[in-house]
Amino acid sequence: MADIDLSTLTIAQAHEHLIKGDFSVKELAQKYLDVISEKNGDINAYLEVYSDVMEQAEIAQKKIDSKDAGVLTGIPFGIKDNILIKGRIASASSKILENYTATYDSTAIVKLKKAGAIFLGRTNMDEFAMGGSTENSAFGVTKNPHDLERVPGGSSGGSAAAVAMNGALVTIGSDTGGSVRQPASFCGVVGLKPTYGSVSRHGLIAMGSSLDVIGPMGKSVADVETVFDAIKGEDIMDATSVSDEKYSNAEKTDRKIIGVPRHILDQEGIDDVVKKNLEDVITKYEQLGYEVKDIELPHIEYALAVYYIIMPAEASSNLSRFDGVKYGLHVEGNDLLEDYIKTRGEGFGTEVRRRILLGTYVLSAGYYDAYYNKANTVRTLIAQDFDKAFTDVDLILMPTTPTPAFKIGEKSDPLSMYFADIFTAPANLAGAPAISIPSGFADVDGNRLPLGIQLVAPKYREDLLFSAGKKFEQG
Amino acid sequence: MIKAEDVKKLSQLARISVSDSEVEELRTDISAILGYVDKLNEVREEAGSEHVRAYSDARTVMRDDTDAHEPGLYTDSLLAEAPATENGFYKVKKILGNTDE
Repeated sequence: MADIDLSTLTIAQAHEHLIKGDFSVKELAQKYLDVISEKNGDINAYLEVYSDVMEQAEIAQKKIDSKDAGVLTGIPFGIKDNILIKGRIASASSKILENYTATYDSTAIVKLKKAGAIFLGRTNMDEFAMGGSTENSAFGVTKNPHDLERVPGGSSGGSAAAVAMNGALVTIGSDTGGSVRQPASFCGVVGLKPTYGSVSRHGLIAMGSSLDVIGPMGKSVADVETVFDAIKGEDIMDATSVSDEKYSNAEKTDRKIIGVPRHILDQEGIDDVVKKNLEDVITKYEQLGYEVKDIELPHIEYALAVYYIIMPAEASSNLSRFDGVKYGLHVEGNDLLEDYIKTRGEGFGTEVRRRILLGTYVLSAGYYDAYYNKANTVRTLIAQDFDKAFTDVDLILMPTTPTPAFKIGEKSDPLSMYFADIFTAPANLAGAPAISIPSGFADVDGNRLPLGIQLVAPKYREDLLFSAGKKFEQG
Repeated sequence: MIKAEDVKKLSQLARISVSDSEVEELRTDISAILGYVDKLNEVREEAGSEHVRAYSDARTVMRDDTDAHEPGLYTDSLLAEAPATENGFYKVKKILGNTDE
């Protein structure tokens, strides 16, 4: 068997080796399982490692042997715990779904199964994807592989850590306000938040339905692109999914002009090392032949306030389905109403309860206009800011996060935790695609903590993220 | 700032039990978040702008009401996830009754 270095292995390389027979699907999968059994006890990236990985590998191997293999056949994936795979537990890292077995496949999983992908296990996350650290998981925090005292980010922290610890070649996460990009940045991997609607949400456990999107994480831009190509597409089961026509009709500019909204750095809480890194990245892009110019996104300073109205409002409605009747946890009360109240009181963790109550408040009579409608109006203004900026530039460059990974337990009040989404939430509000790419390290307390840079493109223009991202990796 | 009674009212509306000791913490946290999002009042809005949803290409999707699956095809697998069932139905407590006693 050929020597496999999991730390640098790409999908394309693995595919070539599998086709040539340098190693088998089983051997590749076993390599990852070995890493997981060595490291997962410390890192807790996976909540469950599937017991049938070798059976899955056998099926993929047959496809390869019969020359029926695609580029993802036999490629080992980790899947976030809020994405349904039929017959397997999907708990959203919540006690209320601890023993819930999915009764159908999410559309993204249907596509990956068809492509012959291997599912190694389900990855840890903040409960119902609410958080930026995985500290809100009901099943223990995930630790950052670069520094075990620090968080991996969140909510897709398990998926990011799994890639960073070489416990999967690629993983799938979901991004509502930064939940793929922020952990990718903290763990030194690539994370893509696709255009809203490009990947079906069918079978993704819902948080904020006008914001949620499934996205891939991996070690390289090319890997993330390959997975995105496999999972995207219009879906009859998701009315907000977008057609291929949207992509073919998107205006095909390629001006190599990057806009930087430097004004967003003029606020408290942004680490100097992050600001310095942004300048280094700008210099690098200039050397790569890009024109870089300052732009203004006048309403972006309101993005986090808009996000923390719209997201809890949508989440409070979405999570009303957990009632202790149809599936999941049930706690006995004296009557039906008390069953609901006790089930939801015991089943939901602190942050989930907080957001449901907040969402209930902003949607309640008398406050709906002042909060929810106002937020939607400002959301429109933010989206229009992006549209206007994209008439002059093809890409917008920002830091992914205001700081490198913080320590476990460091952020005790919710607002300081929410601040971690400050640069990522705007793309969700605008529906635009964005990618986080590793851009260097910060030396903190004797550890090298990864930093990430974020590129945002107009809707349906992931191609611009991929081309600029690959040039950055190679440059 | 919201009051302790407001938190209790919200928890009733949201069907979530909240312990007395947790009410104060929730009151503080929710008040802080509402204080933060109040900054949206700085934004002047033009008349009618709330009806523009520039961020979304969503539209109503229709499909023909045909090709129904065979009745009962998913009943067993769905009910297998339910905490209590009886004769192919979800089982719940009676809604009216105990409260009048």
